[in-house]
Amino acid sequence: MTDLRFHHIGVATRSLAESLPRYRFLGYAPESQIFEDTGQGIRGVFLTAHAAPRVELLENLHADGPLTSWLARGVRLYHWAYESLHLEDDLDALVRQCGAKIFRPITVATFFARICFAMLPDMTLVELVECKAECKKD
Amino acid sequence: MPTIAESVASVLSTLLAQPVTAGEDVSMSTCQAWDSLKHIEIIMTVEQTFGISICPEHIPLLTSQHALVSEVAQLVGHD
Repeated sequence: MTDLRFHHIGVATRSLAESLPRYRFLGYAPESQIFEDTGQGIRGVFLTAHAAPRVELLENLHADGPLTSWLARGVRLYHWAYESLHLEDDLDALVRQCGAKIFRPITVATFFARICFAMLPDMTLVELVECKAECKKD
Repeated sequence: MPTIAESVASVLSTLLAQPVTAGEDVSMSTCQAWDSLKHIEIIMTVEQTFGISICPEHIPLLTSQHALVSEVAQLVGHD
């Protein structure tokens, strides 16, 4: 049992500009500025709505970016992210207790302090995020 | 009963959606369909097919048909 807390659903899009109005129609509003993570090759924005899960809407920075495979498969909701207070331990627990495979090792990120991705045996991609100090509420 | 090389070729053929024979050496660098997402799918399917567990540290290195066959052979102890 971990103390992971749900943070957001990662949604891949070919175009933020095209998708944002649709999310606004669904009641979502930007929670963050649009950010670029050149290390990951993505541009994104966090969106929130009343009584709805937070969404991280993401587009590739380049044509062969990390979202290309998902988009080619027709997958839009492609990762579930959880806030972790003990990134190494939680990733290790996912691997050893859930049979997950490390998809992207722990790396420094732009919006978060550090992130990592692990694929569960049913091909559900889980992101663990470590919030920056100023973002931690408790 | 298929050999390890034949079974690995069968897994790759299915997941890469292209004919793969046991004598080839398809790899991530030569096959466009073998991307990082597909790689995890290949590893998981190989594990299920042979009932093995591949060491996490080895996973990034198993990016070719030959490497997969060698790893499986080592883990199952024959072929």
